[in-house]
Amino acid sequence: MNTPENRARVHLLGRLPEDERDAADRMLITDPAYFDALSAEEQLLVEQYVSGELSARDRRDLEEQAKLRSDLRELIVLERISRRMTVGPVRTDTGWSRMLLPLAASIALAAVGTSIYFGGELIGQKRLLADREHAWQLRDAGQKARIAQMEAQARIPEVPRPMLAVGASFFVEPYTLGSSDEPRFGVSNGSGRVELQFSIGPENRFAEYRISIQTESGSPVTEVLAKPQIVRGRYRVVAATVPADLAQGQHFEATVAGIAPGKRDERLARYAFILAPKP
Amino acid sequence: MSPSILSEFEKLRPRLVRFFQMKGCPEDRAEDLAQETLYRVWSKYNSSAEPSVVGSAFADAVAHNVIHEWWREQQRMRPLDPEQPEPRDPRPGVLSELIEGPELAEKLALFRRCCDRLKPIHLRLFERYHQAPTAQAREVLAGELDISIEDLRARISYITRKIRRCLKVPLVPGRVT
Repeated sequence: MNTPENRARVHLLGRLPEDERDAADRMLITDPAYFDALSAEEQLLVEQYVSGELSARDRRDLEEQAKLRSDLRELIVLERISRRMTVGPVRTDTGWSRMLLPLAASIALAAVGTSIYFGGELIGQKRLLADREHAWQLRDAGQKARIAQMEAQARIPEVPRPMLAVGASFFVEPYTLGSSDEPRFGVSNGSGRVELQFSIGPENRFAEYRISIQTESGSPVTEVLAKPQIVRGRYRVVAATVPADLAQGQHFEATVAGIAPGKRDERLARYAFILAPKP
Repeated sequence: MSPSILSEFEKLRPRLVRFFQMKGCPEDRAEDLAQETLYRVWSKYNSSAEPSVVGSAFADAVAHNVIHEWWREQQRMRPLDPEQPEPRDPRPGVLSELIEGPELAEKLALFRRCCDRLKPIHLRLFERYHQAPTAQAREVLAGELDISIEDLRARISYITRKIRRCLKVPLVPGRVT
């Protein structure tokens, strides 16, 4: 049976032939129902993957897709975190809430009964929702306490890590479309940190900037907020540091965006560079 | 631009982002490309004032062009030097090491902060969904909410993606200058 769910599952597992896959991708734009079906099926697949309920073939195909799609990898990690944060005995409420919850339920039932009695079914439903909301609020305190407890259990004793010294600083010009020379920065040893000074030009006058650095495949390396500074007496830059041991000949990309209060970040420039060990 | 047209644009945005992700774009790039697509559709709409331009079929055609341009750009950016080692993804495969890694406590704290930013009704739905221990329990939850299990999963997927966008924070501590 070729339901939208089946098609979405096959699509997500990368089993559609190339031409069908292209058509299915485009259906995400043109067919809202298919977009919803794919979202639901992806959620189910991720849950089944994390629970170990997928067949060996599905598991292998999903992992192949996860290698290609960073968002899918992140969804898998997030599903695991969600389970850690929320799975467990639900009733860790205090004595007060144990007494209040049945009371709230009784009120909800009474509200339903009253509304039905007066023929106000819609009003009754609204009250029921409000009472459910109230019951949920009562449970919140217990849940937050439980989350805090799980966080405390998961927390590894923090060993203060001294910020390593900056071993080298590099000046990075914005990437220009069509340019073939990508700067290659040699880092002399694998310890310490490397400072990257991104040139932002004199025309950008934001008070603060967001610097995002990622690998070529799009995996985030770091994201920091930085204030502009002047280097070499004339260049306006914003700087971020990364561990020197990232210098393995790998290609990196960075973006700098201006931050304006109450507005979306304004992306200003892209940068591309290679960090490599110095021979 | 009328509110109805704006609303159409906002409905298109998540669908475009998902389209670009399925084509292999990293998420922030997918958002950029979705924005570029919407901008082109908007420009066309402004110049021609044809309501049909706002339709998803036109956006589909524009997105098709945008993704091909992006692919060509990727080809140009590929290092030509055969000696150059292939870039490695620091987070390959299943990523189980991320969840077990030393930064778990940090992730949990961030996760909680992002959850606190959700609408209360979304937060409760998300919690209840993940508290349901089995698929059957989730179906019961969907029944309680009077929606299908597929609708419930689609809503959870939407909430999860909201949390994920919020979680775009430093994985490696960087110096704030």
